[in-house]
Amino acid sequence: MTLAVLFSGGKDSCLALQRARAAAHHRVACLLTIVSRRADSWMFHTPAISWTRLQAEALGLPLLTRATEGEKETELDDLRALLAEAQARHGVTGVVTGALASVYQASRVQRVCAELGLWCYNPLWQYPQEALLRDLLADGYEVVVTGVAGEPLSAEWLGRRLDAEAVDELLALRDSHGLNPAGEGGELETLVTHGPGFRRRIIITQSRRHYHNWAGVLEIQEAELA
Amino acid sequence: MTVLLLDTCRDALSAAEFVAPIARIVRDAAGVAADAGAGAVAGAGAGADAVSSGDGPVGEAGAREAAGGDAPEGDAVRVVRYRELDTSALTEASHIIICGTALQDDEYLNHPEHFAWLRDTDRPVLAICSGMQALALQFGARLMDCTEIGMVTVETVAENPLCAGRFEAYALHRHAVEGLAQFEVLARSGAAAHIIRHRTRPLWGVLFHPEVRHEAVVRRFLAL
Repeated sequence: MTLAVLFSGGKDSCLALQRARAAAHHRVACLLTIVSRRADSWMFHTPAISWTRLQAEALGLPLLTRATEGEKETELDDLRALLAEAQARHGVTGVVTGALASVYQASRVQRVCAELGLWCYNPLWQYPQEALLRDLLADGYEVVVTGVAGEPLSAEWLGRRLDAEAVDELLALRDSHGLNPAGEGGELETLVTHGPGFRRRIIITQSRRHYHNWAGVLEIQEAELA
Repeated sequence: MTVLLLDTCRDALSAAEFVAPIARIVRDAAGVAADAGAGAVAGAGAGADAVSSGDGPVGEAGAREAAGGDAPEGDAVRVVRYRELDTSALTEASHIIICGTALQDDEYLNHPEHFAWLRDTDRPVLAICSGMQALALQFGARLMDCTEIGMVTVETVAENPLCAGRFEAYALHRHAVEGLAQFEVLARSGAAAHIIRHRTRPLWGVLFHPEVRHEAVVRRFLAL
């Protein structure tokens, strides 16, 4: 089957891409990125979304993008249009997402895929968050935190790499504060700079933290492929 | 306890989504005391982490292997593709769970012969979504077009050990079943029967996906 991967550039979509590429009888033809103009999009927002362009280049995959205003339900029209474009340009018959536990996101993607006659795959669905973090480490992913929301995540998390020490801290915060360690509750946003399938590494050369009242983003101003 | 999971998915990428989560619930249930209470399902469900042991082979190999295809000796789970089932797997199992599959996947409907064993088995069976359709079709039911995607309200209509009261459950199907004379309908949404039990045998069908927020349904089945 010819697949497109819904791709935010974060750890979940990269892991889902890796699972799809490893699956027999499938070929990943392209990545799909929805760029939301609203920071509070229900479906698509992630702070470093514009850098999927560099990731796609590093991964050697075509990238299709579409902007959305990010309104609660109309943003699905933009998703529908992007999937239809993937069908037309790449002959895509199936869509892969990195959905882990969000019924809201997963069911909406399922509906749009059903309307278009596309298969929908969610290879991380219900996957335990701790196992996901361990997989990232085991597979050598380089993951940078680009967004935080919620106490006790301080500004120091922005730009921090999710290495073994950081994962252990997140698991400790799960136990002490009820934090979703992989950020499934919106606590963390990430950008993958290197990992399986990447032919080149992304280097963030200039960035700036914006942080207030337990929430913040890493604005990546410049980055390049090494 | 050895639980046989029947994988109805056409390909392994779907098995990661529909079989592996059930395998994790079963392994967790085998490791801790099963919650056999029949309290309201809506209150019994837990977040995704509730089923996470964080261990096992998931993520280290292909999806089918992750779900238990290469399970170590003594594992509570054995996963078999529905088209590759043999009688020894049935007789060695204490319980059988038929897992669901992707919305677009109708392959299992073309092979009712691979589900004929349901008419003879004496093992308790929990048939989820596509599995419930395959189960009901073996006993004279008919498919009907019925698309439910996302959370639906399910109402318990007959007392039973798997669920109680009204609750929200995750549905993902384009077909449901009707003509259920050989079954008792235990719970239903506004559109379809969602939990059924054969009138004389330990055969259960669940149309919604209990692996999402209602792991207790699986645990209670295992405790029957």
